[in-house]
Amino acid sequence: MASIPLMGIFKGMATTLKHLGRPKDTYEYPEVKRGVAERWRGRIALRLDRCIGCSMCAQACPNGSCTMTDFEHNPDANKKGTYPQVEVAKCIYCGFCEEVCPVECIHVTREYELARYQRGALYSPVMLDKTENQIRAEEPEMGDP
Amino acid sequence: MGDLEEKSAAEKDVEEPGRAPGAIWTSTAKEKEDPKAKEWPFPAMHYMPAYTDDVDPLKEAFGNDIVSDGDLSGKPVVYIHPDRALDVLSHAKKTLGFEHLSFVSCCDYPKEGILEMHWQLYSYSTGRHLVVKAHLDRDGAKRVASVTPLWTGANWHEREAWDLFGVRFDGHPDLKRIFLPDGWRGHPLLKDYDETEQFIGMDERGEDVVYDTPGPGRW
Amino acid sequence: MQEQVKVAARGTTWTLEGEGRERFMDLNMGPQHPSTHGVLRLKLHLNGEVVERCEPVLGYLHRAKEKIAEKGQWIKFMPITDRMDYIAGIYNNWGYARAMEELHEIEVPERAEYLRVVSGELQRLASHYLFLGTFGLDLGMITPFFYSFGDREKVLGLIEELTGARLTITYFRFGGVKWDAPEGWFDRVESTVDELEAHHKEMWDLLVENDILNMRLRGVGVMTEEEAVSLGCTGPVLRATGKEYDIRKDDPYGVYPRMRFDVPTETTGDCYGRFMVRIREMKESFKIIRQALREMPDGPIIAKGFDGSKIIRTKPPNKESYGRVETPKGELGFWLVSDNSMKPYRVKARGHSFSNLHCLPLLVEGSTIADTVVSLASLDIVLGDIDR
Repeated sequence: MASIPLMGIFKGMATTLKHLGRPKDTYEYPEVKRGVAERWRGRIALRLDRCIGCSMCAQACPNGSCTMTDFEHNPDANKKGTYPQVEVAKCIYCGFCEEVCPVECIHVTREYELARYQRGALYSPVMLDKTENQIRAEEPEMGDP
Repeated sequence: MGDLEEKSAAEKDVEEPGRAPGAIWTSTAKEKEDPKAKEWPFPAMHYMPAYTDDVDPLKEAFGNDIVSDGDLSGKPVVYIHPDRALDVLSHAKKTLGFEHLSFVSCCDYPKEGILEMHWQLYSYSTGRHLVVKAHLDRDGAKRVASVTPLWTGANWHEREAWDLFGVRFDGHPDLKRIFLPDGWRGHPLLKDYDETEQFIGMDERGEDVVYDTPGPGRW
Repeated sequence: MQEQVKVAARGTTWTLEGEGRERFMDLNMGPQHPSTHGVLRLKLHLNGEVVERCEPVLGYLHRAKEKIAEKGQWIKFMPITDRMDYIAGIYNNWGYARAMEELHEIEVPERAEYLRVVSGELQRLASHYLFLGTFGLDLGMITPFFYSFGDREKVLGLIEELTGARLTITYFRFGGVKWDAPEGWFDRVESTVDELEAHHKEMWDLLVENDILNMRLRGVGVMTEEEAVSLGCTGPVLRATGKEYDIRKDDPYGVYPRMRFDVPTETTGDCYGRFMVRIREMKESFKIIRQALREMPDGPIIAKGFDGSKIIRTKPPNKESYGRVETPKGELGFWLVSDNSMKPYRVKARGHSFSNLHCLPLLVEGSTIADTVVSLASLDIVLGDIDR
């Protein structure tokens, strides 16, 4: 117990008063956005022209959200014709695919606002090459759910 | 001013003998540096051969019940006969001073047909580890004595081992499943566990019921 | 009509007056009770307002992580460990990495160990800030919640800059760490630590000498040292009973033998003791971070042969190991069994909260429901670690 009764209470009040003049710690989210760090691991993306179809990303994926699919794009670089597709809703954002990729093709972006009107979260190689805004623009309008 | 107040805060619970008043903010750690601490990597950090100081007295006391000993990355291991588990662990705790039981668990070896019990012990006074292991017959009754009389904290660890491996602990006060609901089929961490989906619902009393198919009120 | 009721844990006897057993009541606290920090369900058998029997029911967050571990390569369990104690993800990484390094005899570069210490102590601060905030909420104070979460935000910002994520960090690799510090990060850590230390003194003024808090916490949920040791409690819960035991000191790993810090202990063993141990530990974390930043050496950050695409090719020898670290909440250990293949044969996680929660019936039986909430909050459990 404090030696002087109520001393602790007054000191606590003083602390509270000190905090009054301090800047806010919060953001009003949809209007003001807090920036994310340079290394932020957001949605997976693909530099489609670089992919060599080695399937390292699919091997390194911890929960099988990244798998290989048959797709014809750039036969010179990718002779097998297999490209990664990512089930983004299942992805756990560990960044292993980026770490093991030998040609810096698959990589993580800083996009984190992935809310969509449609449930389909399986991103084809073509979709992975685009930004989230481009994908959302091509999506049919659903109105309020 | 801040220092004075902190001092008075420290003096309030000065009954503690080891700590000087006001010691909260000042370091009492040894300031002189150990010259060995500058070496890299530390010679004593990893990969030491296991010491046998604690294994030898166990061997003397129990003779043939200690089947063999080994090394778990620098921690001594003794393999014992499962029927003598309680005696050996009691001796380890009371005579050798292994007061801390980190966990009780198992590992399944279907090819060899054994289920390996694992008790991980640590001594607060000497800072040593001891691992006690026992081999149960995998297809038999899988019974071993509970160590809850020695360590109360073994209770939940043994329930977990029963839940996930199906080991029955004799003398356990309340041996029932801890993570999975009652009525779950199989013990998941066994290597031959049937991974068919099972669905959990709820009956009128709020207790969990296991179903084969999903349905209303089940998930 | 009088009835004698024996309270299970303490052996005290209560005398009831009234008709039969009408005053008894079974109450389910949880699994969606806000004070349970997750999905913990407590079955309380009440006598009036007094808790007679308390039985925690676990498993609502059980994700079978130990089974998941056996499905993939060794490194693939690393991101899964983040989700165990999601308040202090770095320590889960560390425990797993330490067990693996003992198993595979990997020599970790010095700079990586220093980076581990800095990031780990930042994570310890974040975890204790969360404790201070939610502890206040459980007691009915909302002010400390805002202040401590504001400070926690700064710590998480630093962790985000270093690792790229705030909670699910996946920063450690076998034999080192993923990232070196970004440019200017050490300076930012130093200035933030100065700022946090000033705020910590304010927090101390606000909480430690507060008469209401003292009256609320002292003598609630008392446990002796023998009981704590027998129950396998570790971390602040054990240190609050007077046992000076910290894995960083007594079974040191990494560069902790070089670090100069104290292990705060309290002798009371009650909620106040557990609260005090944590708030004093934060002070030690500031010290450790400063020292690690001063001594930060140059060099590689990951052992040779374990970086880049080789992370999924780890193939340890046919051995077992048990590696443990001191997390903000106690001893977290990983027992690994390898059969010389690319996948784990068995991974067992020894959870700190799992063992610490076990003492709850002992703490609350014989006290009131309101004290149950306080005792539970003072244990600082995380359900992700309990249910795994």
